[in-house]
Amino acid sequence: MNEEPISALQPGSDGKSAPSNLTGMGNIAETSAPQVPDLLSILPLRSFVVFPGTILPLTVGRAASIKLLDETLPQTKVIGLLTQRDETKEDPQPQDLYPVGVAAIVLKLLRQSDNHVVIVVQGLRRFALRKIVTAHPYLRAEVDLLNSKLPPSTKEWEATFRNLRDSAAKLLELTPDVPEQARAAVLSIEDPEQLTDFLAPNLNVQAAQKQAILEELDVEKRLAIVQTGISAQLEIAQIQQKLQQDVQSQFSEAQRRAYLREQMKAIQRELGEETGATDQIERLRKRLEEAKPPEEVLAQADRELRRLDVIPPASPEYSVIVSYVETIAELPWSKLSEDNLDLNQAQQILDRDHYDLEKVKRRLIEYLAVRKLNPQGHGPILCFLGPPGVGKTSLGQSIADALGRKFVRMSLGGIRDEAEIRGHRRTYIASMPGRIIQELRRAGTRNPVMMLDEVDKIGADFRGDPASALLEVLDPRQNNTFSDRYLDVPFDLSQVLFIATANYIDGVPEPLRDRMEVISLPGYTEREKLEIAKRYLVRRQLEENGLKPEQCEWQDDAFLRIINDYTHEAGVRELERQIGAVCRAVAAQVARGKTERVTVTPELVAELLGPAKYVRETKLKTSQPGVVTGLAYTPAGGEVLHIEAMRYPGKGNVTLTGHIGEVMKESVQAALSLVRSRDGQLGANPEDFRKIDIHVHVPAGAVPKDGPSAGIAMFTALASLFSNRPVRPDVAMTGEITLRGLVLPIGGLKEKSLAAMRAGISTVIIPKLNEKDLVDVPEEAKQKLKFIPVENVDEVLNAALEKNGAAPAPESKVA
Amino acid sequence: MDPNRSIKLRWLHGALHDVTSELARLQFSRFGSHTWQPAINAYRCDKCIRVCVDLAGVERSRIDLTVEPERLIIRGARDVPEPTHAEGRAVQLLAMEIDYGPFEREVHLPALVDIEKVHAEQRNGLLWISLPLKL
Repeated sequence: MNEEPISALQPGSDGKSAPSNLTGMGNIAETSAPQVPDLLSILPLRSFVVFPGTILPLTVGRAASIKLLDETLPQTKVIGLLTQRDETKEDPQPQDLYPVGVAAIVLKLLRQSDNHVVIVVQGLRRFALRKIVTAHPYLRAEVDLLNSKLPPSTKEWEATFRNLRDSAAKLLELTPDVPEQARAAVLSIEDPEQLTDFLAPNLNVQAAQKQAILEELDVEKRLAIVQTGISAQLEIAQIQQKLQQDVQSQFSEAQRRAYLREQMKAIQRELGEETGATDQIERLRKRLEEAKPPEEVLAQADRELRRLDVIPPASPEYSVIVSYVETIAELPWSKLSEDNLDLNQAQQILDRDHYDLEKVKRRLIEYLAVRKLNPQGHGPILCFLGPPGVGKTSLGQSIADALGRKFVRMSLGGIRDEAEIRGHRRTYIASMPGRIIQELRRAGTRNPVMMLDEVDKIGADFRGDPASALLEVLDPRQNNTFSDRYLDVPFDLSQVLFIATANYIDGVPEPLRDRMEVISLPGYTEREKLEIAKRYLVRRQLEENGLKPEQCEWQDDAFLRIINDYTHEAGVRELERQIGAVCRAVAAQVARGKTERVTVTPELVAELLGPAKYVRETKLKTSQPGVVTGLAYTPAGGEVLHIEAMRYPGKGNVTLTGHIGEVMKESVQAALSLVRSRDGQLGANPEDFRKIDIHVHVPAGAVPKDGPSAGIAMFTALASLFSNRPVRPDVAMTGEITLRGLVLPIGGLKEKSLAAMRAGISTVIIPKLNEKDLVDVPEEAKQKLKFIPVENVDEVLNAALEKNGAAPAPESKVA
Repeated sequence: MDPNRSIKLRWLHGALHDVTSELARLQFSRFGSHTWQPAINAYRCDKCIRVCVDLAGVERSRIDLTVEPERLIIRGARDVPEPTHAEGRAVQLLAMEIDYGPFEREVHLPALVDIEKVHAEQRNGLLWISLPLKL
C-alpha cells in the first residue's frame, strides 16, 4: 500500500483513518467522503451531466481522455467532470465546457481494447473552474468546491421536500423495470440536496437543463425545478399506466371468461355431462349444413349453435335452442321432389281415382302444362268448393299422386288461434312452429301438395284471426318469404301447391276467397253416383268386408234403389255406408256358410236395409192449395224445401214457423204484401186479410233455414192459398222477389237442380237472369228437367198453378 | 439491508464485465458514500457455522466484525492495491476491477450462535469466521 499521504491514497484511505479493533466492538468511520484536491484533471462529457452521489459507468474513447486517465489515475482516483455545451465537438476547448461540474472518484476501470476504456465513477462534489493550468493534451485546472445553500428548516420546506420524495417514489412505482430497491432508496433519503441530486440525472430533460439544475446552488430553487420535472413525468406515467390498464382490463376480461369456460368444461367433464353436449352440437351443425338452408338462415342457426356452446345442457334454454336448430335442420330448404310432367300419365291417375269432375281435372292438367313450360312459376292456390262427400279431400291425394308430389293435409276446422298457422315466438315456453311449417317438415320437400281442409270453418276470437294469417300463406306474391314466428327466418312457400276445401263459400272470409281460385264440385247426379258406386265404392267395401267380387254381384237397380230410397245427399258418403251395410250382411251370410255367392237385387237391398228411409213425397205434399216446392242451397248441397201456408179465421196475424231466419221471414212478409197488392188479380177478397190469420210453415222444423231465394216459393204458396188454386206437384222453384213482383237471380243453381232431380221434379222455375248458369248444370239434369226462366211473379203463377183452379172441397170451406 | 438484496448482489459479484449489472448494483446501493460487498461462502458444520469472506488485501486491523446471535456484520475498508515504490511507481492504470473503499456485508445466520466463542482468522487472504452453535 501507499505510504505517502498524497492525493492518490486519500480517497481510499481517508475514510478509514481510524481503524478499529478486530473484535467488532468499534466502529469504523463510514461516511466521510473522499477528499477532493484543488487541482483536477477535467474529463469532458459529451451529453450528460453527472451529479454528486451518482454512480455511473462512462465509456471513454477519445485519445486525450484516455491519456488523462492513464496519467492521472496512478496519482489520484479523483477527477473533474465537465459537460460539453455541444456534444458533437470532438476536441472541446475550455470555453466549450460548462464552467460548473462535479468532482468524481473512479471506482473501477476496465479496458475493453486499447482505445476503449470503461470507468465507473461516483460524483462527489460540485466545483467551479477557477484557473486553467494546462489545456493540452487534456484540461487540468484549479477548482473551487461549491457548497449548496440550504433554506432554513421550516415545516413548509419539510413538506415541499416530502412532496418531491413521494412524487419520485410514485414515479418509480409506475416506471417499468425499476427494481423495488430504488423506491426504498428514494424514500430513505433524508437530505434534500441528496434527493435533488439523485433525481436530477433521471429526469427526462435535455443536458442543458440538467446542467442548470447542477449549477443551481440554492437547494430550494433546485428542488422546485426537479419537482416540476418529476411532476410532468409522473403525469405522463400515470396516463401511460391508465392506457395500459385499459388494454389490460379488456384483455384480462376475455381471458377470465375463457378461463371460466375451461373450468366449467372441466367440471362438466367430471360430472360426465360434457361429451354428450359437444357431440350433440356437432351433430346438429352437421345436419344443419346438410339441409343447405339459405345464407341468412344458416347464419341465424349458427349464431344459436354458438350460444349453445356456452349454455350448460341443464339450462332450460338449452333444449329450446336445440329444438329450434333441429327444426331448422329438418326443414326442406332445398329439397324438391321432381314433378311428374307427363300429362297423359297424370290424367290417367286422376281418372283412376275419381269419376268425372272434368272441370277440376282440366284445371290440374293445365297447371301441369304451365309447370312444364315455366318451371319457376308460382303454384296456384285452388279452393274446392262443394258439399261433403263429393271427394274433395281424396281428390287432393290423387292430385299429389298425379304430380308425383308429397301430400300433406291440415284440417283448419275449428282452429281459432292465429299461432296455429304462424307459430309462437320462441320466447314462449313450449313454443313451436305453426302448422304450415310443421307439415312441411313432415312432408320433407319444399313443393308438396298441401291441403287446407275446411277453410270455411276457421274460427276467430281474441287470440287473433287465423284466416288473416292464412292470407300471407296464400298470396303467391308474398309467400316466397313466409315468416313463421318461431323460425324467425323466411321460408319459401311459393313451390307449394295449396288446395283449400270448403263446403260453403260464405264461410270463407272475403279476402281469403279473393286469393284463391274457386273450383266448384257440385253434388253428383243419380247416374254419376251409380258410376261411382260401381267403380269405386263397391270394390272398396267388398275388400273391407273380406268379400271377393264374385261372391257378391251387384245389379245396377240395386244401387239405384239405395241411391233413391236410402240416401239423400249430394255426395256419396252415405251411399258408401249403405253399400257397406249390404256387404256386411252378405258377408255374414257367406261366413255362416249359408251361401257361396249372392246377387244383390233391389229386393235384397230392401230386405237387408229395411224400409226406405227417404220417400219421394212431392206429389203428396202439393196436392192442396198453399203447398209449394222450393229449392234451397245448403252446405250439404241442394235441397228440396216444402213450404206450407194455411189460413184460418183470426185478426190478420201472420205466424211463421220452421226455424227460419231473419231474411226468410222478411221474404215471407214481402210475398204477403205482394199477394195483398194483387188481391183482385188473384181473386181474393181484400176484407179476408183482416179477418183471417195466416200460418206459414217450412218443414222440417228442426233444420235452420235462411236466405231470400225462397221468395217466389213463398209468394206462390200464398197466392195458391188465396186464389185457391193448387200448385202443380211436379214443379219446383227458386228465386228472390221484389215488391214490384220482379224475380231476382239466386246462387247454387246447379246444386238446386240436382236436388230437384233427386226429388223427382220435372219442371223448375228459375229467374231469367240465372239462365246463363244452365251451362253448369249437368247434362243429365238438363234432359230430365224442364227449366222455365221467369222475369216476374205473374209468369211464376202462370207456370206453377193449376190452370182450372179446381179447388178441393175442404179448402173452400175454410175460405 | 434486506436479505433479498444481499442474495441478488452476491450473484452479481464476479460478473464485473457486465457493466449494466454493475450499474444496477451501484446505482441503488445506499446513497452517500459507496460501500461494496465482499463475497462469502458459508457452511453449516456439526457444531458451528463457518463463513469464509473474500477479503484479500485487507489488514486484519481494518476489519470490523459485529456478531449478534443471528446476524453477522462484516465492515471495513480496503485501500486500492497498488504497486509500492520499491516495485516501481505505476505510470498507467491498466485495469481496476478489485473493489476498494469501505465495504459492508451482513450475513443472516440460520441458527443461534454463541457470540462469546466466535473467532476469526485470516488464511491466504480469506477471512474465516467460526461461529459455534448455541447448544
